[in-house]
Amino acid sequence: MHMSTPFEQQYRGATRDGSQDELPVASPKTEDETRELLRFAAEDGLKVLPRGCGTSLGLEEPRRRADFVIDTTQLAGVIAFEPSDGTVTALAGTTMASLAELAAGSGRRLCPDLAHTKSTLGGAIASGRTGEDRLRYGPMRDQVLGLRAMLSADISSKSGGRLVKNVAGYDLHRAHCGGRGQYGLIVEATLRLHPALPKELHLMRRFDSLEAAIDSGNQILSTPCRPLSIRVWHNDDETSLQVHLGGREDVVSAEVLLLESKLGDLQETTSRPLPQTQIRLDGPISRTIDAAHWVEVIRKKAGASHLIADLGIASVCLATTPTSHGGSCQQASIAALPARPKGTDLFGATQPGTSPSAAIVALQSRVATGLDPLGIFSR
Amino acid sequence: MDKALIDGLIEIIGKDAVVADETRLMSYESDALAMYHEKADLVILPADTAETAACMKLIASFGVPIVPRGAGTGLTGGARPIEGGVVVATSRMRQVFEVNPTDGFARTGAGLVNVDLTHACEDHGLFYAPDPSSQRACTIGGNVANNSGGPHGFKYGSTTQHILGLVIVLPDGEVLDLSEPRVDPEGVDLVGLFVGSEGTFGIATEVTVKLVPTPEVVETLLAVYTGGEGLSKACDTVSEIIRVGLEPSAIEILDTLTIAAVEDSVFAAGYPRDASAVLLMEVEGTPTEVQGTSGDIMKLAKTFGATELRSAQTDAERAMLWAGRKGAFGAMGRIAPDLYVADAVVPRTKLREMVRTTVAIAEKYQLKLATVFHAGDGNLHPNICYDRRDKEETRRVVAAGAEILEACVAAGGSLTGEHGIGLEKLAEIGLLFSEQDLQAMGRVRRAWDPDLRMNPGKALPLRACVELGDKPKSSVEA
Ligand SMILES: Cc1cc2nc3c(=O)[nH]c(=O)nc-3n(C[C@H](O)[C@H](O)[C@H](O)COP(=O)(O)OP(=O)(O)OC[C@H]3O[C@@H](n4cnc5c(N)ncnc54)[C@H](O)[C@@H]3O)c2cc1C
Ligand SMILES: Cc1cc2nc3c(=O)[nH]c(=O)nc-3n(C[C@H](O)[C@H](O)[C@H](O)COP(=O)(O)OP(=O)(O)OC[C@H]3O[C@@H](n4cnc5c(N)ncnc54)[C@H](O)[C@@H]3O)c2cc1C
Repeated sequence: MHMSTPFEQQYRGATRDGSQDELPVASPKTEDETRELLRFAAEDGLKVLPRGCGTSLGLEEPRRRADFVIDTTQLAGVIAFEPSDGTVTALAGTTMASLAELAAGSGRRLCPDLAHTKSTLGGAIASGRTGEDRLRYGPMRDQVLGLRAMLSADISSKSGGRLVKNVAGYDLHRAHCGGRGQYGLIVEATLRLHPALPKELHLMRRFDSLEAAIDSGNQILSTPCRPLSIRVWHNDDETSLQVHLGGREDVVSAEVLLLESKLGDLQETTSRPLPQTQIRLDGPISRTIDAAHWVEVIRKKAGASHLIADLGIASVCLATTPTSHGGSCQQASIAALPARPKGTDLFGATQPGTSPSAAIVALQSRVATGLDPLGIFSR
Repeated sequence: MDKALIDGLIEIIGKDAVVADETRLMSYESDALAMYHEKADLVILPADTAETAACMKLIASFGVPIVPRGAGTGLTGGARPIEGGVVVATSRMRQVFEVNPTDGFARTGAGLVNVDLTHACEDHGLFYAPDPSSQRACTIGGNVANNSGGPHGFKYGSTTQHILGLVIVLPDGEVLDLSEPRVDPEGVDLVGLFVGSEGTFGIATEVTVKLVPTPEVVETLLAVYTGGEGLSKACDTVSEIIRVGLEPSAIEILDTLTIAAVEDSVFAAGYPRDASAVLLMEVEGTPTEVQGTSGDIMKLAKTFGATELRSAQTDAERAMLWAGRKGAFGAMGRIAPDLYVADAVVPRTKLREMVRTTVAIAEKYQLKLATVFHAGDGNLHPNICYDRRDKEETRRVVAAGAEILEACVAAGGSLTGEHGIGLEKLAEIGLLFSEQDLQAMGRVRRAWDPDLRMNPGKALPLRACVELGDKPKSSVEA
């Protein structure tokens, strides 16, 4: 094991007295080493922050207080790959990209299709984020069939399994999905694999206004087409609608004809990478994102360079600029919302005015203690 | 039961909603696993969240155990008491509060019958996808508690993928309003944890569900297999459909004894009586999609030995084919008075091997086995037809059931794909989870229900829920 400082440039933790500081990073190579680190944390009353590749941790607000980081990237490797059964089980530090490649080699598709190639299995589950393909395949939590987490040196917990259907025991993995490493360190997990798509196509059309692009995108939602995503890109120079289709070749061709009959000519394009820095607004479940108006207000106020709205899943992503990164952009976004939809959620942070009831908070806290009884993990 | 408690409950919900009469109580003493029964001390039928909360608060002050109950169609003894207590039944909570076609969700009372939800939204071109074969009777609340599946789970997944929010009454009467549909949960995913908790965390009184668009075209296919190897060939067809990545919405297998029972019953579906197995499948989507996928499936089934292939030509024919499948458990009443429905999962590559194993186990115990199952998900239902008045036969049924489960777990499978652990499988849960795993689950259960009054003796062997540092024990409470 090695303990390394300084901490990665992109993010810093908060120390226990609240000041921002660089944190020591330990990179265990085995589960035994990880166990030792957790023992050390429990004995010395230290708080642990699990980390995968750090691609999402850097975007988290507020920064959490921790004493050291356990970097899981060396806890990597595939444990079981069953393409014919549609499952893959791997250690948490395995990259999602390598799993996607493995799956693709056997005619399977791994979801979510994450934009960042280095993100790890554990990080993808714990950040509970959304792939570009969520409209078709659902959120990360729908892909997780089971997992094993270390809760301390001597306590671990497994739930679910390596099967596509299974209701034995409580679904504790649901707490780890989107749990941001607050309730344990995910060691291994099993994901569902989907059949590969024989044909994929990205189509694009430019619009004069954001409203027109969103209206057209919403029209697609009411057709029988099943796109992987319907995305509106918007900045001062350009507004466009991008539709990602996939499936049997004949099905995709029929969908193109249907879409062209509704939207006019569509241009074939390539998948467009997300900007390097961004914040994401996941609203409540409004398929319509009728919020074109406030979204644009936010973009201007927050100083974001781009707005990217995923229709049908009510997710809006604001690409930040070097001067409007992270917290400031988030604060400006909240302030800018004229009539903020209830439950708007920025990178998991609960917003004022939408706080859950005291009973909910109390139960969440009791569940968290049940999962992490020694209070080792940074919350 | 303390008279003061009964009087207090009558004051809250009225006399008609409190069942204390011995004869009426009898209908609540078991669920569809009739092998086990135990009379409740009292059954109450609150009409909504407020009444449930007030009742739960009062019951808490008397320290009495609570057993939530939907329609009682569960197959693991989950909805019946094991040591008296109050059964809280949701049958008066059948409201549809809201159908939101734009955002594709509905909010209902927990006691709403599954199929009534689909009826309530069909005019909007939407439906509720999880469709247990018991959907004409079972409740949405029961589906949530058991994380139920159904034939179309192959495409749409189990209940958990369709629940967007809940209103839950905790054992002390506290109400958690988590009903707002959300893209992603905030903090610990309480809704996600509640689904599949088998009535041990609290009572769901309202449910927010996802609705999905009614498919443009649906084609129902029947592949018929004959001869001694017919059932194995049907299993191999399924494994191959999955291996090559075809995506029908449902893939079900019925064996020869089930076919005979169905064809002799009111559910007669026109399955050929000389078949050793039939494969019932459905394909949904756009016309192009359905045509292509159905064509590929038909070809594949033929290659794997299907002797006859049919596609339902009318809605009536389609409904008939499904009535046979959905009525299969009921039809088995013709074979013997009682039915033990086993529910195990195996990797989908091992269907042939595990179906053979279950047949061999039934033969060993000289029992009648009728198999009908969600083949596409690897979810086996080897059903044993027996007479529970015959104690010796009942003993063999229990032994065979346990052996089937052990064999499935040994093959990399699980104890349950949709019916839950309930009371029935407590003794076997250690085959899947270590003491540490069970303790972690136990701590989470205590977080919801510190006094362990919710559905005691179900889902988890409680004595394994020891406090941290205690010596782990694997004893089963029941
Ligand atoms: C350019 C760019 C594009 C992106 N695109 C997307 C996108 O399309 N969709 C999307 O959802 N996200 C996206 N992200 C965010 C991020 O890449 C993903 O969420 C990613 O899955 C995080 O993986 P990671 O290994 O980097 O996790 P980290 O950032 O290291 O960690 C994420 C969270 O998980 C916790 N964690 C990490 N590992 C474990 C573990 N083993 N056990 C318990 N907790 C753990 C951490 O404490 C942290 O809270 C993007 C980020 C960037 C910079
Ligand atoms: C003929 C037949 C066919 C079946 N087919 C299927 C199938 O295809 N797929 C499948 O998954 N199951 C199937 N089942 C099993 C059963 O129908 C399901 O488990 C169903 O979800 C139970 O619903 P219920 O309303 O009858 O619940 P009950 O049997 O009354 O209760 C089931 C469990 O849920 C708890 N519970 C009930 N309501 C609530 C609530 N509101 N809040 C908290 N806990 C609650 C109870 O305590 C109990 O533990 C079948 C059963 C039969 C008899």
